[in-house]
Amino acid sequence: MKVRAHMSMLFHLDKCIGCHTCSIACKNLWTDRKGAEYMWWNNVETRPGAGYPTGWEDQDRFKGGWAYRDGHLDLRLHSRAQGLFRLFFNPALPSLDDYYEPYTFRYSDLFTAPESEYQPTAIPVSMITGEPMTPETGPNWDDDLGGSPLYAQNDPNLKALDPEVRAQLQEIEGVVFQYLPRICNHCLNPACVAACPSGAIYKRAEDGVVLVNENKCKAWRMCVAACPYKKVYYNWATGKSEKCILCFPRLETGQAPACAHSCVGRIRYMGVLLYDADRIPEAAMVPDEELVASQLSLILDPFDPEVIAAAQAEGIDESWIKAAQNSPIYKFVKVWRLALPLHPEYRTLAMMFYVPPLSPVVATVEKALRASQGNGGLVRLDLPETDLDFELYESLEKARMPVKYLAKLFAGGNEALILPILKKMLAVRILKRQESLEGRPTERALRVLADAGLTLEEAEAIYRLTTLPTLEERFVLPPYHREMAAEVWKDPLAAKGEAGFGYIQPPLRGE
Amino acid sequence: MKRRLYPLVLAFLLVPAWAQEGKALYGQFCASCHGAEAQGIPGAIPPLAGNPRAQDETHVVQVVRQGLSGPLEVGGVTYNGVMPPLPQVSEAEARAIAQYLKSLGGAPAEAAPPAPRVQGDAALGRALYLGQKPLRNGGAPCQACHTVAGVGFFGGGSLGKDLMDAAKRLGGEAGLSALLTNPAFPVMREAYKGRPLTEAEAAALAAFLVQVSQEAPRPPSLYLGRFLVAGVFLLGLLLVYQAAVWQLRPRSLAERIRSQLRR
Repeated sequence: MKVRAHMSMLFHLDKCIGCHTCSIACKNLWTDRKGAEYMWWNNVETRPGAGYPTGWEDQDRFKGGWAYRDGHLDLRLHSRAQGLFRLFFNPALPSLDDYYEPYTFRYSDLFTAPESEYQPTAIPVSMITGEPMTPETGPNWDDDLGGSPLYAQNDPNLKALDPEVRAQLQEIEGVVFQYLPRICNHCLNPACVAACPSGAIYKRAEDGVVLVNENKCKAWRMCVAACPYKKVYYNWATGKSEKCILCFPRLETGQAPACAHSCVGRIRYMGVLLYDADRIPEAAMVPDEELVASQLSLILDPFDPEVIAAAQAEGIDESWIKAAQNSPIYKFVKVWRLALPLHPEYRTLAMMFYVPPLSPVVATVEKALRASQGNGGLVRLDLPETDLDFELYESLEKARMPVKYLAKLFAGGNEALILPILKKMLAVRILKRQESLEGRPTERALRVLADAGLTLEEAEAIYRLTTLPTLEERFVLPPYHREMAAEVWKDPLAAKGEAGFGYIQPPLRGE
Repeated sequence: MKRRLYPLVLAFLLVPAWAQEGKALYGQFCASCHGAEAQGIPGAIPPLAGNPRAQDETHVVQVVRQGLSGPLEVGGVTYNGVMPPLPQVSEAEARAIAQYLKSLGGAPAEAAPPAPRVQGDAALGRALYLGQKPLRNGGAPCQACHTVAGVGFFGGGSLGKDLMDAAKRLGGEAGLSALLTNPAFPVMREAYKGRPLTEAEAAALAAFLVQVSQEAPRPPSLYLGRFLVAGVFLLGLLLVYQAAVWQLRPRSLAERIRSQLRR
């Protein structure tokens, strides 16, 4: 057992309101530079939708992630020989068309336009060429199912659904969407690291952050193609690849990443997970339906004395072990089993976790009830909300957001992993609603709770961490002790009175 | 006194040795064209025996090392050929050859009866020239470097000289076949080092070259023009192929959606 610590993020999708504050915080902090205009290290997608870059989940086109064949893992992108052959032309590489041509508006026209009968307008101009252009797409063109229905219809995850259900999703009453915020997943088995011919990408041992060494990067861009989540980007101005750095400069100074810190819905949690680095290969080489279970088995119990001893032997600081014990991620992922990684079938062992969302209202159930009551059309349902909850609990598979679709996103198509999560969440909701309505947990609510496999205490803990967490409970950040690391190579007293330990050294193109 | 005698004695000892060496060198470098007895080939290659010019040591050294071309009259016969420079022959060796020539004397040598020649087969020569039949010792076929009129749609290589008039320049069949077994040209010498042509092959090629010299000459621009036309045609084919491949490329989802929305 080789214990390592990992900084992981958890997205509680039930709370996401799709406001894009995280994307803007990230853009302002990291990618507001020449060559990085089109990059969104953090983006929020509307699902069903095509995402950003458009159709990134279509691995027949983009060839990201790993393929498990004949007992070993191969990059889906290419073998070594193929990689050499396609060194200068990689057809799997997304083009700027697959992202979008970044644009801004010529605001100066508003001030310099000559006097006229009409208001002047700021025309859109390309941020690459500076020429006027007509934006035809953007990083979030299908936000809230806007733009065009073509985006949602082309979601590759919908292929798992019956044509009937798909047709229903397009009806006015059946329309449903959820949000999917995405950052780099800082995978345990990263395909980008494996694909890099220059050895420029690495996973930090202390906290698992996957980083690109800009001095080593030689712009082969194989990482861009190999990442199944398309979260490595190529900066055309510096000729280097860039990606989400999990705001490690903020983490090292005790702050949560900018996306998490700015989150309006407070959907993001940040904490330490301890994992067994020795067993990563065997965990990545199991059949598709066992992938989630094998990945979760890598995450170790931070209370287990054996694990603690092994962690100490690996030099993991006491404060990190403590942070792992208090980690909200550990609770959601391992204790309550409410969270899953995004697309585990890519076999990169993504370490950012998602709590799948409950559907807002039960369209199909509503419709069935209406029919049984002899009502048709758009009649509002006069069923008490409490009963609605119970109806949904009984027939989750008919929920407005098809469970099959969620299973495709978070469980490699395995519905058996999604249903218990939705049941637990709904059971907690029913319990709290009954408590506030009746003043006590009702018999019916307790029955549901028991059916979902939760105790009252657990339900209370889930409720508190979901709805009422403080900043310190959401972000359990261990001290990095960078001052100790810095002392190894630089005398802090020698730098006394100066600006800091670091220095800015922009990498040279082709260096 | 004794000291002054040393060079004299040395020269005395060396002169016969030089002449001996000169003969061997003549056999190696000159005999292939000028004949074993320095008798030359009437009308093509001037004789060296009985040639007053060959008596002048400095002239011989200069011609051997720097070559000679232009009209030349020897014994009442006018020659108009080209002798290539032989820079591989050192000055001392050239001097030795000159010594040997001097020892032959200025009188015309009793021309030895020409050695019985193998009758060349022009058809075989053509096959050898084109490389359809490999040379026995592994030499490169002539067409790799040379062009002759009427052979090959695009002509041959342009590295060597056009061999159209080789038969006229280099002493007809006999001269060519002698030259081919022991090429005097530096580049050709290097190319066939260790891979000499056999006598039969040389004779066949010589016969072929004599046959070719009857053909009407063709300007080199003809072959160049053919090459250009073929190149442009191939380029066009390539572009058409590329255009087809580009049209058939798999469209990304972004492109498909955008083109549908534009409609």
